[in-house]
Amino acid sequence: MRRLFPLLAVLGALGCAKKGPSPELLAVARAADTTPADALALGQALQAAHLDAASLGPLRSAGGAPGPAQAAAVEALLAAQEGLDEQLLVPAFLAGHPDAQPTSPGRQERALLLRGLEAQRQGALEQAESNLRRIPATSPLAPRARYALGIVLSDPRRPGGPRMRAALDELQAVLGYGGGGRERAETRALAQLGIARLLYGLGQDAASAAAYDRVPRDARVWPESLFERGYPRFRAGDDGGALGTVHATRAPQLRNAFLPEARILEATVLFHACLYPETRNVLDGFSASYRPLSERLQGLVDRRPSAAEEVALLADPAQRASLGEGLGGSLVAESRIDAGLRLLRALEEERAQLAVAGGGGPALEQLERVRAEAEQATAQAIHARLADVSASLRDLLEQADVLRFEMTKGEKELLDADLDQRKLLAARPLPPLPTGGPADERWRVDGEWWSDEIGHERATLKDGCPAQKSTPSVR
Amino acid sequence: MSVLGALVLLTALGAAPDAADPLAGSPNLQFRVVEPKPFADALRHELVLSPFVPQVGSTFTTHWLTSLTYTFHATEWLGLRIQPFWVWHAQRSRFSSELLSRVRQDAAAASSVMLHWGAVAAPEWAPLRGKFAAFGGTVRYGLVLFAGAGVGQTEIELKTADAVGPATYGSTGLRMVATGGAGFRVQLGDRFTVRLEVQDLIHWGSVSHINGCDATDLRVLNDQHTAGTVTGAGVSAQCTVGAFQGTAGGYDRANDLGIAQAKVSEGGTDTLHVVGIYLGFGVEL
Repeated sequence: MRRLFPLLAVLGALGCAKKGPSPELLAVARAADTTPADALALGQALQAAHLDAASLGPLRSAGGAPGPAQAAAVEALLAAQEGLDEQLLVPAFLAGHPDAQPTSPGRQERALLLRGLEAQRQGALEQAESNLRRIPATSPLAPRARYALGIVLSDPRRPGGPRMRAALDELQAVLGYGGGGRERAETRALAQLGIARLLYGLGQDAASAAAYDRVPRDARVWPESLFERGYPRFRAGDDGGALGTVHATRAPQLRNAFLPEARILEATVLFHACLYPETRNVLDGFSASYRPLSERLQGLVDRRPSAAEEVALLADPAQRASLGEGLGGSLVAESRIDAGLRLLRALEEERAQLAVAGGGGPALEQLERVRAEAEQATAQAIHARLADVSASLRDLLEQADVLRFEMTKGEKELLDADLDQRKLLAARPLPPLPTGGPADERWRVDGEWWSDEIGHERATLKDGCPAQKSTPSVR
Repeated sequence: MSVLGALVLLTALGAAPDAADPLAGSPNLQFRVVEPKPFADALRHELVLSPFVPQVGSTFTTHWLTSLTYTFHATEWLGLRIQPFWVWHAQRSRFSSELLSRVRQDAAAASSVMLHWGAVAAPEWAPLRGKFAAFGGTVRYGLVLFAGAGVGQTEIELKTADAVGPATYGSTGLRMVATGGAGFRVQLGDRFTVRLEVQDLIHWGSVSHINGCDATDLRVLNDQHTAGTVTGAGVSAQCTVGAFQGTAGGYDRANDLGIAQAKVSEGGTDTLHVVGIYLGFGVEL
């Protein structure tokens, strides 16, 4: 009998499935939403039927209208936001309805966080700071809030100017929050990256390089931190360390990371050592990869495709891959875009369920409105990022041209001084490679990319400049 | 597919080279990975149990033993190991047995001495390290070399097992044991290790005493046996007379006196190697 039980359970489930949608689903598919109370009832019923995405529409209607249903609607709306990790529509709703408050203290903190993040995104930094500071340090949302507060405090646009020390304190505090699963680990990694960037901004290169090293390898932002940590090393005169860490971003394991700036930093380090042929090779490779991409993006941004087209650009794997150079993957990994695409998928699934339950009805109409808004908001997020990337690529291509020009000047100076750089370089030995400490392993770099070695690469390079410089080490 | 083939397939090394790397092959720069050891060994303790160690390449003896190795890793490269071992199966080899049964030719006594138990200590050096990819992760291994010395209790077979009774052995005393070996140590995470080593336990000397009795003692005891009873009167204090008294599986131990006397009188010395394959499983603390 015990052996038969799983079979009976499966057959029972199949039987229920064959019967069609549940009674709850059938009821909500035809429910009215003419008053806030009706809308609240519809939203709550949709949530009870596990249709969180579909519930956003009626709950926003109910939550936007002052009255007895408002607080309960906002409470339920925040519950749906939490379940979906929705980051576009609910924060915008909360920002547009500052008086709408949920009932429970936990959801009130969530509302503060979402309002703070939305204010930060819109550049209302004072409002953002005020909201984020009201979240108690003991709240489960405190790490996310304090991270955002750290970023707000360090923002150069902040009224009264940035407060770097206070920002560092907030980011350091985030590292002190343990546990919390994937989301909190991501926040800690972001805080660590923020600390490294702030320290670099403060000119503390050694501390910044060390902070970059502490960004966890499994974090989404690790590839970014990998190339960025080349900057403090380079500024500290550690050309070998900078080149090693930037070169590691060529690893095929990082093919989904979009890091065009890494190539410019690589070329800059090589140019600094007057290694002109190597600089030219890197710049030529950069231009060959990124100039066509820049032109494609420029065309795309200028054309202003429809919301559906822009969403399809990332939602469709084939179109996403066509962007090339890891751009598609990196855009999809961005939290707002990722959240928008997830919401659209959830809405599609729930629409299919509602359609099976009874076609038409206010629930489906509300869902269609939410879907249109979600598509618009996601497309806006995608478009904004594409415009940023396009502008950044144009800037980097200009930097590449400047480097080429400076390189030509350097080569001309060598010719004027009647110096044969090839002979000069042949006469100079390679400085010794770093050996590390007794607890370090040393591996040859011979074209294989081992995942565990990425980020531990160091380089030694000859100085091709007529007057040699010394290259101190950061670590 | 053979196991080796599967292993080679699994160890598909790292990721493919990046063909577009414009810095590859430049004579003006070079790259090296300097990576902190993921699992440091320095100042840690390692216990390795090798439950079954077969002897290989022996002519006259066969040893099967169990060994427990404690290693203190003083640095990442150097350690000190102390290794007690227990030989739970030691007998003359098949070759030696056939020699005895077919042509009545026994191996020289000095060449037939077997280890019973012992302990050795040796410094350990790990000069080389490597790694391979397997099962979605990276497995690190190191070559270890060691050489040292210790002591071992030895014995000699006096009678083979036959219809008359079981095999009997006589102690040939505590001897110095030298050891040397090499092998690979694989680290599985922070805590666990697997070792595959070849180790030689070397002991040498002649057979001058059996059960503490020298040639004179054995002659006296043998005479007593011929006269009727082994009383032990007139032998040295070190001579364990009891080892030649009583019965073992119905076999009268006094009958060993003749062969014991013959082996002690044989003279000659030999250097004996117990080369074993040690597959050990360890934990690092």
